[in-house]
Amino acid sequence: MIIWSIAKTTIGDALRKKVLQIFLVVAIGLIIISLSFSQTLSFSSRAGSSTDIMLVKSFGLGLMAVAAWLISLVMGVSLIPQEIERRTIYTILSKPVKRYEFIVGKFLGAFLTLAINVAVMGVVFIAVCVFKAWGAEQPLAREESGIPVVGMQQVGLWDWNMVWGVIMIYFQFLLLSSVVLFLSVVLTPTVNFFMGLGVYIVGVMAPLTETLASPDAKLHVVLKTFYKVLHIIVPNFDKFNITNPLLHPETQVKSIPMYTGIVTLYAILYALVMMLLAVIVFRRKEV
Amino acid sequence: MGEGSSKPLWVLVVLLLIAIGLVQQIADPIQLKLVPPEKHEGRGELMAQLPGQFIVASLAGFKEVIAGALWVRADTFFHEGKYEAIIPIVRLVTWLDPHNIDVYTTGAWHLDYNFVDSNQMSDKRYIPSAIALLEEGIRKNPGIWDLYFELGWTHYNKKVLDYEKALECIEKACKLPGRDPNTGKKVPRPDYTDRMLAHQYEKVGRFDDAIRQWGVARRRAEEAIARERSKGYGDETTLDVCDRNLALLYLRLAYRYGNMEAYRKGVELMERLARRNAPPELVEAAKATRADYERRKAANDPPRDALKPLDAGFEVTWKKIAPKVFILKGKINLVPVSEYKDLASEVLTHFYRDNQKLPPDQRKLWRDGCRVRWMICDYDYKMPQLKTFSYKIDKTKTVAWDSAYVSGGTFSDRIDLSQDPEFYPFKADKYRVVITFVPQQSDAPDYVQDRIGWKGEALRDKRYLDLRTQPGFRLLRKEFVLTRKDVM
Repeated sequence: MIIWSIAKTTIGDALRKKVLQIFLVVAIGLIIISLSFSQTLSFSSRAGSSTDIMLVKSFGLGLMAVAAWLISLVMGVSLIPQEIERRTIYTILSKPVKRYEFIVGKFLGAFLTLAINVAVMGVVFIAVCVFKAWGAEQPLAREESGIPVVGMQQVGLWDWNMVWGVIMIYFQFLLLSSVVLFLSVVLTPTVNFFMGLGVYIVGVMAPLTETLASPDAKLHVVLKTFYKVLHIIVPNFDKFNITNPLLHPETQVKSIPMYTGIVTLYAILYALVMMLLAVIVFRRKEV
Repeated sequence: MGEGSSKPLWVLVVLLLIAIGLVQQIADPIQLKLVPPEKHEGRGELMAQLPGQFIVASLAGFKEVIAGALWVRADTFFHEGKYEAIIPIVRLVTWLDPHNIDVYTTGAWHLDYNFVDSNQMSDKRYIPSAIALLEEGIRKNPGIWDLYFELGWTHYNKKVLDYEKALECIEKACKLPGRDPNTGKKVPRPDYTDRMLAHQYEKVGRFDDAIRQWGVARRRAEEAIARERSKGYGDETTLDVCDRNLALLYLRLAYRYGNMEAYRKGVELMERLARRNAPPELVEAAKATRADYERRKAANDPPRDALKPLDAGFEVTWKKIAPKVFILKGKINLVPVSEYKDLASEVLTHFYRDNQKLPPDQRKLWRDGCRVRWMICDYDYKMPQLKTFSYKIDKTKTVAWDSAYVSGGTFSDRIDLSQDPEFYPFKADKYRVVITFVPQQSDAPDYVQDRIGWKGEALRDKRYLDLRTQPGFRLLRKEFVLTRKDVM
């Protein structure tokens, strides 16, 4: 109950933050504006409404990712330090609240705040996708009495891949939030912001570190070991970046639901590790 | 959890890290399947040419948006005629969005058709690049029919004229479904893919497979009509297309090679077509073929038009009239109108009869329409087979080919390769000129094949008959070897 109370308070505080509200409103506004995007190419027989929908999906997913990235970073760096700065932590810890309950409550609150933000953006985004697909047609080359003609056919409305896309974005930035929250126990907000940014960039470049650590790489063994360790320790944000196959369901990718499940588990396990480390560090921290 | 020892927490952290490692092991192979890595030479160099905001945006998760913007730019270049600027964009777009099928097909089409010399002849050195681009597209999108079909029909069939390879690709296309681009749900692939496969079997002389495939195409058309009827409409013309083509195949097998069983089936199909809302001329044709069939059956007189020898009398000369300017001239005995006099296909076409009705000065003496191919290239030129797509061609090589129209039993062409030194550098010491007549379509129309057969069975020639280049087919082929002096 104590954990839930802290989580609820955290959600309330975070949702009231003007800067986070701005990120959310701007993202939603841009997603809606993307409805007007169109890519009609006269020299192609295949481009048409289905290409326009793909453009809206791509823009929407990218935008949600950027907004979720900003929200998780800005929120994560300040949640715990602001309690120390404002000295409200003394009031909390003077009550029968254990330190781990405080940390777990903060993590839970951050995860739920992020969930609310991503869910709101996700609902708007999926509604925009369905609206764009409504009445949209795709060119279908065919023949009539031996004469090639270009016909049109209605595209399907509901695309499950967009739901998987929203889920992937949420868990990608849940992972980033957990890293930033853990770092916020030991670092100042400014340092943490850049540290979180760095961790994210290295995590997105996981295929590069993997290549540098591979036996084929022509590098000194010490460097290879360094990259190997980096690859294992740093959360692999690249795992969540499957936007392209999500945007092209026609390319017959079968394993997306299973893959989403596996990387969700990866994000949850990693977030648990970050939370446990935060608990361990915070127990010994002088506040 | 109290505020005591941290040891159990550390143990938990270690256990969780092990679990994370295991999950990574499971996720890695699936991720490789979803986003297969592919190394490309010059990727960094090309990416560096992108404006900064494009690079940042593509790294920030807007890859497909950037790909879309670049593709719009490519369209502008297309309308401005700046074709050479389009291909690097194609390369970038396929990196950013490897599942955009349209980019592969349009990019390959550009490479095949749009780099043209001052005589509107395309630069054949780009064909291997076009094929490599489509093959890359297939590697990255193996589950859809589009790119296999594109590679088979547009490139091997139309451009490279390798019908066996085209057949291989179209066969693969016909094993795959279509996909809804928004939901990914299976949808039927277009009807014409299956019909094209039947035509392709016919083209390479696999008649049993062609007959079977017309059956497949008809069944698919029936299924499509049933689906459409459930929605309140339905177009049966596709059934007629399948039946008409199959009937013609049967009749041609009979006329050309004397297959009376095929004749019977062809006549029955014609009659079925005639019963189904057919125009009067088809009803008349069905009656005529039935009468001819019954007469030949009673007299045991199967037609074997393509088995009667026909001397091609092939003659060809290749002459330089100025540096890099040549005159191709020749004769080919395809096909004097007299050859159609007793041809079995006259029952359907009435060409000879109608021609004879004309006043003598208006009567045709030849049935035109064949084409003779010519190719000039470096003596050691072989079309490169690229493992990965690259649009950088070897500009020291020379290769050009086209065809000349046969009219009145002769052909001639003025081949001017002097205007475009970038296209035709002529840097080699020796060159090959190959002149061929291939009895397959589109070099020999149906009415010519009615006399010489699908594989040129009737063709005879004292000097230039070639039985080796395309086993099973009778080609006419003449090769010249030129020195640099003969060219310049």
